[in-house]
Amino acid sequence: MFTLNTSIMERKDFLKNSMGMLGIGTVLVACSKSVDSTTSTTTSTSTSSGTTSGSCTATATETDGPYPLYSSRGSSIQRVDVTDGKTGVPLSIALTICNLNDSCNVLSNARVDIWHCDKDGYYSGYSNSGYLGTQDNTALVFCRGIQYSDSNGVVKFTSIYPGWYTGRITHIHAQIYVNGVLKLTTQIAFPDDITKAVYATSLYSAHGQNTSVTSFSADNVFSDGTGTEMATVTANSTTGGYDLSLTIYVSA
Amino acid sequence: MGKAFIKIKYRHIIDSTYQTSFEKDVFNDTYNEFLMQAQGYNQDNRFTTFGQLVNNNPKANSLHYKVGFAIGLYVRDLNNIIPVLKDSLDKTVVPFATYQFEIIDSDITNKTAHRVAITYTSHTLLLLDTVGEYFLLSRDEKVNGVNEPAETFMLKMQPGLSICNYQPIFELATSIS
Repeated sequence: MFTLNTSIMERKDFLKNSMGMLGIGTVLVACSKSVDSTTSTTTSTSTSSGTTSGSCTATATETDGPYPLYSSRGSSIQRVDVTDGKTGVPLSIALTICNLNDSCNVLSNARVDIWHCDKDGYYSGYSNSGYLGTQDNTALVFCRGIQYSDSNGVVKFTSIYPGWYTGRITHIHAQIYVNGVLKLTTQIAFPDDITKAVYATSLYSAHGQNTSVTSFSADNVFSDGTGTEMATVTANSTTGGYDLSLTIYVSA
Repeated sequence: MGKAFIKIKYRHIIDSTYQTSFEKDVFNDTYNEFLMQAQGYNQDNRFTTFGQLVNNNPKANSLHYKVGFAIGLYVRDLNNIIPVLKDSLDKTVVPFATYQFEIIDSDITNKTAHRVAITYTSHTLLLLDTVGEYFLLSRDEKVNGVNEPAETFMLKMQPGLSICNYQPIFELATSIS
């Protein structure tokens, strides 16, 4: 015979999916301005200066960082909206994939994986520490997505402007697979003036400006340049946030 | 063993001898994903097995969760019930709160060497008694009053099953004679 109060027992919800919808800016970028540009055989490069082929330059290879995640038919991250309820300044992402081995024309059906930290600098998928202490995000998948490029070579994601964490400047990780083969691991850089403006807004002000890495030259990934990795970021009056676009060149 | 609140873990091993559609999906999709993800740790294709990749580059341990997220929707479709683990009436009744995927081993040149595990951690269960090799358990965390019935089930102790959290229940309050 006993009486119990079990309120101390906590329950955890399994895999929460956000159904929040944000507008997606439509940004299409033509990869090749000239269809008769010379296509040359290129080799991959690990510098941010890239390799030039005809009218375009290979997007630079960068480290994938420690924490990428991936997809399958049963993937929990193959989706357009990757916010999963995370608050932040809306960011509509449009990446155009082009093929250096095909006169820099757009490349369809390329698998594009992206992942980035939330507004406070935390990643999903594992336990990590930041200015708010340690967060066990093992069961969460926010700010991670996979899409396949459409007939225009474009993939789109709806997310939030990434925050920052000690040791890095603002970035998004990306990997490009073509026919199951990893063609490129890279990172996407943000214009510094826009990042500063975002970090001054109310949602980001608690963490404030990035005091850890204050310039691209001081960043361990972008210190060799951001030439092929700097996104175009423009204000979006509809979402109240920004549209990000970047053309990514791979040899496929 | 006295009454207690417990959580159990169950390690579900999945390999080429899969039986269920869930196991088949997990086996095939995690192998396909492994083939993709392994490339990031295997420049020049020097290695073939998961063990070799990890030995060469400890960062390849990230493959556990990189590959694991490829089956998130399959696991969601389990509706939080541990598959395979059956009670004494041959029913799957044990709820899980979280799970963790791991690659036991794999080989980019030999699919039959692909072997993975999903370790499920249950919600809190009420352990009422042990009967022989069986635990008498209830999913009802809240047991009030006297002589109040509780829905129970019986689960056999077996390989892969473990109690991972134990909170003894002390009969604090009313004992009515």
